[in-house]
Amino acid sequence: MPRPAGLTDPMASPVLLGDWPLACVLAELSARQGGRLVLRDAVGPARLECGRGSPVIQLPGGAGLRQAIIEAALRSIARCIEPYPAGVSGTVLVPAAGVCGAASSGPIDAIRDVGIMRVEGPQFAAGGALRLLQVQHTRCWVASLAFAGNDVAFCPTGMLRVLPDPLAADTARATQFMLDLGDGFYWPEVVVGRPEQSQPGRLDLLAMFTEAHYLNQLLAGCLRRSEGEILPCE
Amino acid sequence: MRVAVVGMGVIGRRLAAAVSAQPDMTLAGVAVRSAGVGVLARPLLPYFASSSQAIEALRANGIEPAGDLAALIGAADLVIDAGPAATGAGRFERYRDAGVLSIFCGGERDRALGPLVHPALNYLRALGQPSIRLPSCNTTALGRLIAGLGPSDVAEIRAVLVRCATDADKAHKGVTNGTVFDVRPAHHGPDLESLVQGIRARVRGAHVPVICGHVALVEARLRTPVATAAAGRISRARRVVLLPQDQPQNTAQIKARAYRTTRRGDRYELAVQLAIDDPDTITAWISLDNEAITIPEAIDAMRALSGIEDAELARDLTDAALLRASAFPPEQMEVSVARRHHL
Repeated sequence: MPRPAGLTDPMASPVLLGDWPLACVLAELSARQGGRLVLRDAVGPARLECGRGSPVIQLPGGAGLRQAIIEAALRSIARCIEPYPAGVSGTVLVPAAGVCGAASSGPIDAIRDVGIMRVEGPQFAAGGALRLLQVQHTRCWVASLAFAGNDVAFCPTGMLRVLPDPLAADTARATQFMLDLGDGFYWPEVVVGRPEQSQPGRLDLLAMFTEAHYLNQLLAGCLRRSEGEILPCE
Repeated sequence: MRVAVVGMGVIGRRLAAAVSAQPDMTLAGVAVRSAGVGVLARPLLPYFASSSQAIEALRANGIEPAGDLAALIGAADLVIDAGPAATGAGRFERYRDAGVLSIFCGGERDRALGPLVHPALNYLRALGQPSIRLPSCNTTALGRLIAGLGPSDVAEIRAVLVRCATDADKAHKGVTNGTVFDVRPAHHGPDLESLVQGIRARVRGAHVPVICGHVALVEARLRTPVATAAAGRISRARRVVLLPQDQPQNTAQIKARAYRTTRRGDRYELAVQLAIDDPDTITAWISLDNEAITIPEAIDAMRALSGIEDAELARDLTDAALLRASAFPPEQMEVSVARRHHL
C-alpha cells in the first residue's frame, strides 16, 4: 500500500476525538500506512482533527456511518462504469458486527430490515435507492447493485478488483482469497464478481467490501484537508 | 533444508508461507490437486501437479505446473504432507522410497507413518526418525496446555471441545443453526495418552456454526495440590496467552484483534482463561485458532527431523520467523506484540 506523504509529520498527525466504533481500525490502517492517528477521549460527537489549522471532520455514527461506508464503495464502483451511471438500485447486506466489535446483539439466524438508503446528490443524476438488510455475517459487506445508464461498460481501475468466478461465488472463498493476498482482514479494495448486463441500459454486479475502503478514503481526505486541498467528491 | 508442501488447503497454504519465512528453509514447491483459493492468491509459487486433472486446473488459471509430485519429492529434503485427512498413507511409500524425510499433518491415524510427535511434549522422539505424524489442532492445543502446566504434574485431563463446524473458506459444510454433539470419546484422548506417559485423557466434543476458532473447557487434575504453581508456570509458557479471569471472553473479539494486527488473522498462541477451584485441579477455557495453531509445532518438527537437538533453539527460530512474517510491517510490530499480551 503506498505510504501517504505527510502523515509521518508529527505536526500533521490527525487526532480522533471521542468514541467512534471504527476508531481502532482507523488507527491500525493509519499505522499500516506509516502514519500515526492519535485517539483521544472527548465529550460530544466523534470528530477527526486533520492537523493544525485544518477543518474538523464530523464522523458519522449509526445510520450515517452505514451510509458513508456504502457510498464510499458506490463511488469507487461507479467510477469504473462508462459513461458514469445515471442511477443505482439494489440490496446491501450489512454485517451484523461492526469491524471494531464483535456482534453482541444478533441477528441470530435472522435478517433485519434496516430500511431504504436514498442515493442522492451529484453522483447519480437519476438518484437511486438501496435496501439495507442486516444479516448474521461478519466477513464483509455485500451489495447486489444494478447501475442504470445508456450503453454502460465496466472498466475496472483503482481500488477495484474483479474476482475469478469460482471465488466470487461465496464470501467464504472471496474473503479467504483477500486474506491470502496479505492485506489483512480490512482489505482496502472493493471486490466485485464479473458484471452482467441483464438488460439494455442496466449493469448488474455483486460487490464485497470492508469498512477499510471508506476509512482509507477518510484518511486520504484528512491528509488533503490538512494540506488545504478541496475534495472533489464531497 | 529444502521443504516440499503437499496440499494448499487451510494448513498447506499456511505452511507454505511459514516455510518461506524460515531463514534456514527453502520452499521447494507445493503439490496441489486443484487451483483453489490459496493457489489463486499466490499464483507465483512453484506448483507441482499431483494428478493430470491438477495440470488442467492450474493451466486453466494461467499457472504452468513446475512438474509432478515425483519431481517435487526429488527436489526436496523433507516433505510435509497437508493433504486431505487420512490420505497420507497413500503417499507414504513414495516419500520413503525417495529417501526424503516426511511429516504428516492433521492427526493421521496410521501408525506406520511414524510416531506421533508434539514438539512441546516429546520433541526428542522425532530425532533420527524418517517420518513422523503431527497431532490435530485440538490435540496440539491441549498438549500445549499440558506442557505449560508441567506434564509430570498432570494426572488426568477431561475436556469438552466446542468446535467450528467448518473451515473459514468452506461455506458449504456444517450446521446452520444447531449444535452437533457426540457422547463418544474423541481421538484426542488416546492421542494425548500416547504423547504423555501415565496421563489419563478423555475428550468429547460438539460442533457449532462459527468460524472464529475452537474453544474447549478443560479440567486438569494434578497429582499433588500444586495448582497455584502450575498456573504460574502456564502464565510463563511459550505460545500461551492468558486471558483475564474477571470477565467473560468472546472468541469473535479475540479473532477480531488478530485480524486487525496480522496479515491473515492467524493466531499462533493458545489463549487460556484459568480458574483454580481446588488445590489439585485447574479449570481452563482454551481458545485456539484451528487453522493456524499447528503451524509453529509443524515448523519445530521439521527442525527436529533435520537433526537440531536443542528444542528451545528450534522454537526460538520458529517463533521469531513466524512473528516477522505474520505481523504487518515494522512500524506495526510494536502494536502486535503488545496486543499478544493483552488479549
